Amino acid sequence: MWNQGGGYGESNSGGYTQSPGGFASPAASQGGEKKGRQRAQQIVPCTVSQLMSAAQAEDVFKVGEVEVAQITIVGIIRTTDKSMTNIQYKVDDMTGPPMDVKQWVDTEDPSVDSTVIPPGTYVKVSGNLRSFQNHRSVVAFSVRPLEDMNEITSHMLEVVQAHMLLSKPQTSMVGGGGGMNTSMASLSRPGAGGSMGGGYSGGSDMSANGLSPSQNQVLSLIRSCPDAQGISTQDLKQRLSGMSLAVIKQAVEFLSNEGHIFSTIDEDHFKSTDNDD
Amino acid sequence: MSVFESPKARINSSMLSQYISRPVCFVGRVEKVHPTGKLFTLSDGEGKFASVELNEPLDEELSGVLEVVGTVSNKGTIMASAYNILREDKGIPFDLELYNEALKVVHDFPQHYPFEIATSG
Repeated sequence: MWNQGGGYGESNSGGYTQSPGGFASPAASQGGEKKGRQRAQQIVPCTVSQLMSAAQAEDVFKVGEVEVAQITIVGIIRTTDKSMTNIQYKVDDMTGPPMDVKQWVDTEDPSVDSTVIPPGTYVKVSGNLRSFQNHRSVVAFSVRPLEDMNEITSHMLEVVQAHMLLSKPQTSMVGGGGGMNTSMASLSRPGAGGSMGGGYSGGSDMSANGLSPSQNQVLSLIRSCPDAQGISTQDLKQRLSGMSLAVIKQAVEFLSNEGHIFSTIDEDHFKSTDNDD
Repeated sequence: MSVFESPKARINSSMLSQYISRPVCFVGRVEKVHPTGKLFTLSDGEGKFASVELNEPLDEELSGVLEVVGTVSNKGTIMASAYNILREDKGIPFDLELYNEALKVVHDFPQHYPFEIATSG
């Protein structure tokens, strides 16, 4: 509504997702994802205060739990300083002192505009956060004057939303807003009748069929059994050594309630309803 | 310490009394300009008014939506250090009511929109 251009360029659903495995974790990996370092792939709307306060460990910056590397800020240019190779701005977004923003000028490339934007202009800066001798700055790959001042408002809202979404998964469910709610609603249909607790046990690990990783593992084992009488709970326990009997029984009960499996010779043997023969 | 080097909390009229002697950023529509040019009234997104005092008289016609940076006096007026006009000359009006809603959001979530620099390492 406020603008169709750059303002929402980074805010489509792909932009904020920190974990590449968010909705597509394969059943095979059980809890193994998210260990170890993940390079952040997002560009995060921030305030100058957040950038100045961000904790730094080696070359990784964090605002709370949110890793920030590529960022956007919206502020007003207070001063400018042009040299042969770069333009330096001080950009003030009211959350703290003005931030130093450096934009390299490619003197060879005539298509690149190296005109200095005058002080008093509101701009949106996209770039990378840097720290040198304890001094924070932004190296910009884009400094764009605002044509629609409502981008100031939208940036304020995007900062709050992005940092909420990218913080702990549990809180992101609550603070998700419109986009998140619709996708979660469609996923929760399979789990709607049964135990919501079971369905959301690995909230951010939901796979496309609405089943948790453990439920998916149990289901694929049951499916893969060729025997007429199906597979027993004992067999499942043996094959899924990482899963407790209680969790297996919970998964079996859920899958049975949802109609994915049915019992055969007794209450402990199951076959999948998906097999046709 | 110059107002520019501090955080300047974005506030509306209702919040003025909570920010006495503190640097603030106030966005509002120009309502009345005093003949001396050193005093004017702005209305915020809730339709409430604020008085703004300048050191130097205005040297231009003021209208539209303004963003003022300054300190709140103990009378609740804003002693302005600077102002800039939020230009609407590209034909896109500035939605002041929506800005007011955004103000409430950022004040509701100071952990995600801090108006201060944390000093922790």
